Amino acid sequence: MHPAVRKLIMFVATLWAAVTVNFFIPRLMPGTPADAALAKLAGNGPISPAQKQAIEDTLGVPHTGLASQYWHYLDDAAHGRFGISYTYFPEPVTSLIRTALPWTLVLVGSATVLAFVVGTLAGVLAAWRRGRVIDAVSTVGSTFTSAFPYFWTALLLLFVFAFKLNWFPIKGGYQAAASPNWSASFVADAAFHSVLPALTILVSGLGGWLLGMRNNMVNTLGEDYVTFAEANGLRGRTIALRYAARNALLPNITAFGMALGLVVGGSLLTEVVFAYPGVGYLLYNSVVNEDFPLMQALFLVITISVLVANLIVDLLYGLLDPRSRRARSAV
Amino acid sequence: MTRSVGLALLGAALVAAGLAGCSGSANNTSTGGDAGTLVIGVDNGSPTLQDNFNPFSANKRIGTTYMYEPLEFVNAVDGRETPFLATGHTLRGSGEVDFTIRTGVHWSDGKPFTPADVVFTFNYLKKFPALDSLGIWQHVRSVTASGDTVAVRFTAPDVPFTQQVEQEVIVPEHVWSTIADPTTYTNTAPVVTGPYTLGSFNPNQYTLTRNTKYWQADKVAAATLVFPALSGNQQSQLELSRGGYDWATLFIPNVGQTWVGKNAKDNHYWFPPGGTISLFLNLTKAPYDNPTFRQALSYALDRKDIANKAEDGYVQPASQSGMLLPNLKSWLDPSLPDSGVIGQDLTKATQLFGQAGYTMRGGALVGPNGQQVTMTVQTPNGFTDWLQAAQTLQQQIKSVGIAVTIQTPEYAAYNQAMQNGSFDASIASFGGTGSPYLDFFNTLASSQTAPVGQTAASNFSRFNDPALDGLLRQMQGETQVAQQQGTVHQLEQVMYQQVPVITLFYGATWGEYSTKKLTGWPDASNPYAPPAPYGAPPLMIVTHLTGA
Repeated sequence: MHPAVRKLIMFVATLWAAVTVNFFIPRLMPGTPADAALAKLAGNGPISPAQKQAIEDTLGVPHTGLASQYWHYLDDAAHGRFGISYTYFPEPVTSLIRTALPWTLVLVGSATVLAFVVGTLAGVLAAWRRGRVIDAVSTVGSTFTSAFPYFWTALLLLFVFAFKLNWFPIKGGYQAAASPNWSASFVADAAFHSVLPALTILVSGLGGWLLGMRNNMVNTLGEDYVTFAEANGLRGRTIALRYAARNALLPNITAFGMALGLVVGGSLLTEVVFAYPGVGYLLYNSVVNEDFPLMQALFLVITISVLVANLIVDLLYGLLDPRSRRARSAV
Repeated sequence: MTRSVGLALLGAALVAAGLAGCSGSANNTSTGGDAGTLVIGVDNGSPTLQDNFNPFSANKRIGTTYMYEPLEFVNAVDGRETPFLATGHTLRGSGEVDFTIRTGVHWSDGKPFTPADVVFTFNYLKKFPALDSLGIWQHVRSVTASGDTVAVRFTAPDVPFTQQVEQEVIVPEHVWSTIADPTTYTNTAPVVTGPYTLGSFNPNQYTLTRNTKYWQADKVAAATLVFPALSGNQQSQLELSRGGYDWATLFIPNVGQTWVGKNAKDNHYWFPPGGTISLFLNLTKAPYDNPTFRQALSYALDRKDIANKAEDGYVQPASQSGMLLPNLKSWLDPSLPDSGVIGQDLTKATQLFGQAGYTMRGGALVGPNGQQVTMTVQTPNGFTDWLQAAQTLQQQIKSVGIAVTIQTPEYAAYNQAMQNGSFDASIASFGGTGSPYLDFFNTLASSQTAPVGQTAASNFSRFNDPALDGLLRQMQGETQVAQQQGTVHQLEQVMYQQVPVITLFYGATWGEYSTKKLTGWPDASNPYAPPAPYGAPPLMIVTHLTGA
């Protein structure tokens, strides 16, 4: 069987498993969506039984058996029907995701790409100059920053740059009185609001890429062909980028593919801290509020994008790494 | 190469920062310095706001309650009524209440408001039970109009339910009669009778503007109300602290410094009691089924200490009478010592434990089965003040030999355990309706409970006492305040002697307000409404504010 076909079959099987797990996990949580709706009201004082009954009637919480729910779920998922969100009742799930997705794709997507590019290049440099000051600073520095919890970095940036220094807004994706549109002033405002969240993702992501790349690079630099290239008198820069880095990059590419797939899920804690209107916040809210329709749709979108990203990386790998090409033709 | 990328990044950040410096818009949530504009910090975005002004929806924007009016306002502080769309009501025996409907009122689209709208609204709730969040049709048989009078007939004598009927907001028949599914209707252009109409709506903020056709328009001082989307307590506290809101409802630590301290002349707060935070015991389980044991447990607690630690000293210990004090002091049985507030008395606790068959052995309270008494207390995850109360309580009853474990499940799981009766003890809140009848009915009536394993409506401790049920039934037929007071005193005695719920302290209604633009806010000396910017109180407050 052609490896690509085998990979496609694996893809479909994994997808089915993921979709099924996605259906059952939320239903193992205790309580009902109505309870979660009540939780929001409970903050304003005790709730009367009539209020509770009204909420249950409104949400139309399912009373049918799990098997029939599961069948309907598969059918709906295949047709892209995700129903109405409980949390944001009566807004349809698809419109919620459609509104949130661009924010996340732009913020988390660009920050992830930037973190990957900067981190990888810095890793190459650190490995090439290993043992020197720049290596020590960047290695120790990124060990330090990648050990910071995400939300802690976010809170620190928020406190210093938004609250104390007042340079950046405290929250949100755009100014309070604005509605999203494509005018220059709105885009500038949105970009300005995204600086701190983007910086958070960058700071927390950079270290991982840098360390990974540096370590791979150091290994590769010990290979015979590098010594051979040096003996041949090739320029240092050529050896570092064209010989060593190209080979050291492969594990990082795999990780990057996964990271890109996960972009769709948003950067949950960062979005929550900055109240950023992206998918991460939506996901957080859907879980906290036991919003089955929204949760299912979001997990489905995330699962599919991770799987697709993996599939693409898998297929690309053959192109990037001649060794795996050879292995394939031997099968 | 790395260096140049880094510099470019830094440059981009600086440019962005520079842009902001010019526009100066980083923290400005208000629309301007107009004295008639109030910025109200109450509506939580998640993180942005959904456009929903359906007054029957649980997910409605809070501003909705500033636009629609009920027949009468019931002050949750003391139960006093103020007429809105009705001018008053008369009881016809104990089975019917007649409302006189206000004349000369117009909807914001210019059409006249009539008694037919009132009848329509009530029948609408019957047609769509999902909208009936007050449970009107569980108590009411019919609603009919004749002239300016609307007659509401109860299925059985039900005088106390009058207050629920009064609070139903009225919608225009000419708009709602054509809506196919009012449960999913988002009502983005509300037609209302109230003091405000919808101005603008954005996902991060919406505004209300003064309704020029309002029947008491001369009483409305603020021209515009601005509702920015809140997100998370921390951000809101920072925003309040730096003066971003004219009115807010936040628990903020050390309010004297973080809020009043910023501007002692204009920044004020009032935190009146809004409910009784209590220890709900599962009365179907030993040893909690024993009233003497419960009394002993109650004497083991230092409520003052619990209240101070949980709520930063903002609230008072609760009376075991079940009355929310000082709000309902006119209903309090004067024969109860110290207004029914029970102080810590460890000697008495030990003595009562002994009577119940429990003795101290080597620092542990041991029951008839020879085992130490243990108790699992649950409190919802994220309710940090309740958790603090549970932890203080844990320390206190450790000293009488009871081992307490604290659990903090998510609210949904917590609530399910309460409903199904699968808990030992829960920190929970009751009361705060302004009506002693409703507070007792919801918390203790046997009709509101269910066997363990089935869903209880609101009597979660599963108290079942025919004498108490009888008193409640008797009160449904009482039309005179003096009679009602006598019955309430007897209900308080049941609460005080049988301790079905151990009251701890009064949960506050948080209200921070600024008198910089407008004055006339409710406070302890003029408690015409709770200071809450949500629910019904805003209708009272916006019609009481005057220019500073």
